[in-house]
Amino acid sequence: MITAGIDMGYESVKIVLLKDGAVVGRAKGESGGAGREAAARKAWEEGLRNAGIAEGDVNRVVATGSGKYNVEFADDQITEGLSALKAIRFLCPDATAVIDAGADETLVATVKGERIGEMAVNQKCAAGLGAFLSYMARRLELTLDEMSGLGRPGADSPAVNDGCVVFAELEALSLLNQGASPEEVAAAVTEIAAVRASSVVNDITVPAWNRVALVGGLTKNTAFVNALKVHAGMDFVIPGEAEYAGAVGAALFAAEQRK
Amino acid sequence: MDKFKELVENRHEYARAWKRRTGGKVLGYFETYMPEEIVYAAGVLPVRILARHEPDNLSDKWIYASCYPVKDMVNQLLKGRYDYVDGLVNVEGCQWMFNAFEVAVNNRKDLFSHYLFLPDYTDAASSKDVLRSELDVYKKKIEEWTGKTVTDEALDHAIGVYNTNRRLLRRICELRRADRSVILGSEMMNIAFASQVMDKAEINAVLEKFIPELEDREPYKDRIRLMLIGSETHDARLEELVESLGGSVVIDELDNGTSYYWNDVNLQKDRLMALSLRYLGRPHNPVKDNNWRRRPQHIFELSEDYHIDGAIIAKQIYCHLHGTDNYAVWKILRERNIPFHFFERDTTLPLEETELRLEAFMNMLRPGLVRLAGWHKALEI
Amino acid sequence: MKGQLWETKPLECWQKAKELRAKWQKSIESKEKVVGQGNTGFTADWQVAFPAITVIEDNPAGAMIASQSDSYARTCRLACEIRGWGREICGYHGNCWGAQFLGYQIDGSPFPNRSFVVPFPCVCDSHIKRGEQVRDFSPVPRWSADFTMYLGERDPQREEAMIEHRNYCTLKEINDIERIFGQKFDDEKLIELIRASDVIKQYREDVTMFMTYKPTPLSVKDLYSFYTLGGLTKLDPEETVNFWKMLRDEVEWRAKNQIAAVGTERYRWMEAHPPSWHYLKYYRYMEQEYGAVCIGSQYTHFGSSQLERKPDGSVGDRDYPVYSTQMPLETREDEMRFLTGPDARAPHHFKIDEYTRPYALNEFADIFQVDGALFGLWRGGVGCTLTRKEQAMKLRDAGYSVLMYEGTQPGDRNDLDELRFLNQLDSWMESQDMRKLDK
Repeated sequence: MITAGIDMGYESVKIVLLKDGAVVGRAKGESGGAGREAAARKAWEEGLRNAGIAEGDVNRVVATGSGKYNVEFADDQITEGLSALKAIRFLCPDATAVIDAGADETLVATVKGERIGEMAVNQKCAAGLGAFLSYMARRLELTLDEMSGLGRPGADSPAVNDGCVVFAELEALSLLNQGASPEEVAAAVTEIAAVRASSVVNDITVPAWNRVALVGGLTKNTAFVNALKVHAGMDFVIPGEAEYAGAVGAALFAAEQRK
Repeated sequence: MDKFKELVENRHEYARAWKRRTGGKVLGYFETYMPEEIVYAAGVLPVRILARHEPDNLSDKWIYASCYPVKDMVNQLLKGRYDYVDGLVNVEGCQWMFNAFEVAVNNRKDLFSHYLFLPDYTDAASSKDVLRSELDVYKKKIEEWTGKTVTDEALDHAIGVYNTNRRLLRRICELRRADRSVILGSEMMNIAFASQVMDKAEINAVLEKFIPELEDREPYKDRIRLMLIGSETHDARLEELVESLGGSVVIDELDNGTSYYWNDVNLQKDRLMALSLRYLGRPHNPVKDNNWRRRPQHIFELSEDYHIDGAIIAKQIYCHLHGTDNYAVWKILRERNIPFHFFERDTTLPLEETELRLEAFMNMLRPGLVRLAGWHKALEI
Repeated sequence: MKGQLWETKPLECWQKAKELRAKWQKSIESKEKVVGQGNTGFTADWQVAFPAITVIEDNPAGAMIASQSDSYARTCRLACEIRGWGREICGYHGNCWGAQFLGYQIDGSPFPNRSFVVPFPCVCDSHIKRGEQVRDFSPVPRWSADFTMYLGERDPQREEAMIEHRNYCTLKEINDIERIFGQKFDDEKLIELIRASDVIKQYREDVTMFMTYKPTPLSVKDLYSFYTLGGLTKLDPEETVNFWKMLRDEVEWRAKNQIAAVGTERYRWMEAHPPSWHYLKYYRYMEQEYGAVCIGSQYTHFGSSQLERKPDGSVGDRDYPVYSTQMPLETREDEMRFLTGPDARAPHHFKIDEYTRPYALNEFADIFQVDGALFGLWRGGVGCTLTRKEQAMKLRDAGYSVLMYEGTQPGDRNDLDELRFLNQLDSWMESQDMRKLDK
């Protein structure tokens, strides 16, 4: 049986094709803002090509992510919490909790057997999100790779406000004007993103931190991951396919539905 | 760094040392309406919980959409910065402060805690009686907690020490009425903060020694004279910024600024009634200025006495009380043609943006000053 | 109906409720009356004894503005903002007092300026300040009142002075209103209402009790159509009694015959505060998509009383110190004493209950047999939001699933991202293994 999962996020769309419980193809593209439907189709075709599978052979397609309803060829949609859970049961079966750190959402869920124990999502605030870091990278004229390679700021390094991205940006720009380097400012910004993301981790009432899996696009940002480890006070496992976890979860769900 | 700023920065070390030295208890408090005299009379050190801006990933779990000073008070408490306090007390005041108190108490059930009701309706005939009754309850609880009886003599002594502190602060504040003052706003604010975190007798001794030195200082050159109105803040960065631009906050109307030391306890045989009348009669913040309006008039009187050139109204984001009071405050300032600049802030100030707006405001004031001045103003700045 | 589990039918008392509501609306439009700003009790309230005075509360006025016209509500709030109000000020107040600043109502008619104001004594900064907005605007008489609060175990001795203070405040208000406006306070009318109030309260309590049944005969969405009748919507005592009897009887019949409010009921959830009045769609969304019915909150049911689990496992009204409605009422002070009640903290008040009992909502969740809780976090609702996160933690500790969504305030649609909210609901239900009924 072949199923597909599509994770239509705020910044990127990820496709995973699953055949009899194994990933056989994947693709990634920009989610395209207003042109999401076309972006989904484009990534979909690329995913099929990569897997060497014809569209007609795919038994079921399930979409997830904030743009899940924009994937017009999906048979069903599931929410991000459920796809994260399904993915983590598959990618890292002994995980007791999962953190999905993406462009538009930080989601933390504890795992209770095959179910979600407790789930927390960021407040309506962009300060802990990947989108904020991407935006600041553009402002500071740094590449995402450069952002990822930053070290942790020292005790006397410049700091910016962690309560509000607008204030954070203003402070970041005034730091630049005062002579701080873009790298120093970027490190300060990354730090506050990790503070805010760890605040979501703290929102969980009944902790289950024995083994925490970190998935989502921000797993690619090493500086962020390191800072998050410090602020959340825990270590993470970053499983293979971490960036594609949402799509993996959706594909697994599709397979369950077909059974 | 000036002496008082240093005292405030070292307040945790100070309190720990005080405990070691005296073997006494420390009581953290949230609202400046806390009747400290009763606590002090029992040999306890009252310490104001102050916000600092530290990366905060703890408070969101407990509270939502609070003003940032309160959020950071929670952050500070949860991070253990106040691990030396033996008790916490709150007086009915703003809701965020109440929330911070409640979260702190729920996290530290081992601490002594008390919630004191102080009417929002401060000028009803029955207000003084209900507060007196509450002070009596409070006194008994403090006695029970410390095992010490708060005698009339101890209360008289405490009231004396506190009145002295208020008088010393007002004496320094009065120096700011001079055309060329020997003290700037940031230093004055730090003196007020230091008074809220130190043993009053000790800070009084520091101030007694400091005042003659102060009076001998060379006055600062002319500066644009500003008044600071609005939500309380827990550091003097705004005042420092004003100073860096050639101005000075010559008077404030902050809950933890002049309102904290503006009136004395007038002694009477019934000490608790004397305290009740003092706390009900102090310059009120918006939550307590709740019946016949006194706050706008008080602001106006201060502006006259300290002959200000303009006012800054800085409101903390999510401060609902100052948010609604602005209407009355703006109205009176406009009626009297006092220029003012309003902005919202949080615990930290976005430096450049704030600098820009304050500079623009002060530049707006400058031509008027030249015109008005003639005598000595502004041009030397 | 897909997924139908229970029989259901529309309520029969809708029509009567509509008539009563229209009658009240007409009564407040009478120009001969003195219009004041104040709060109105749910059962017994002093204003009923001033036949020529109407007391309006700004909360419902503000909520109605938010529901009726987003653009007018925005104009109102902007009128506040340019006068210095923060954007986070409670939407009820922003809308209502913005209209005052503008000077006209939604239909263009003049704003009914208040002739006096009695602020709402409440543990909410916005409520405390609401009296001042009228007084700052024009020099009308104003009386204050206090919400007497403290934490910890009840201390009746401590409360004596608080009760005296409150009695004094109310008595002064009434005597001054008589003097200033030349109105006669009809003590007999108030006594009549006090005598009837336990009957009304009993009917309300019965309705609350029937909503603990599975399936619930009434959803909170239904209850919101009725619960102001006799309270915010001030009616004659006799009319109030008759209406609540009619409602109680119908709900009782439904409960006993398992006539559900929602035929697909398979999930029950609770709230803790007023909903976004301008976006009640989410109740219907949850019902239609998931068969999930909301049975209300301590707020919704506080007009009756709070329920508690008795030692023998049964459910009954919580025991508070209360005065008998038949107590001798010989002086006006006696009447005020009755209105204040013997417990200065008003423990039946939903908010006080949350302050004084950290596990207040857990007991509610248990009694109403809920599966989960949905809480609004309001940026502009200071009182509403206090302790909300802590209460959620306690519920989660007990194994309930809790979703919190953000908005400005029940009377302000600004920060409520409707799509995000619906997505959150889906996500919440899926996290509990609930999928849409058509999937």
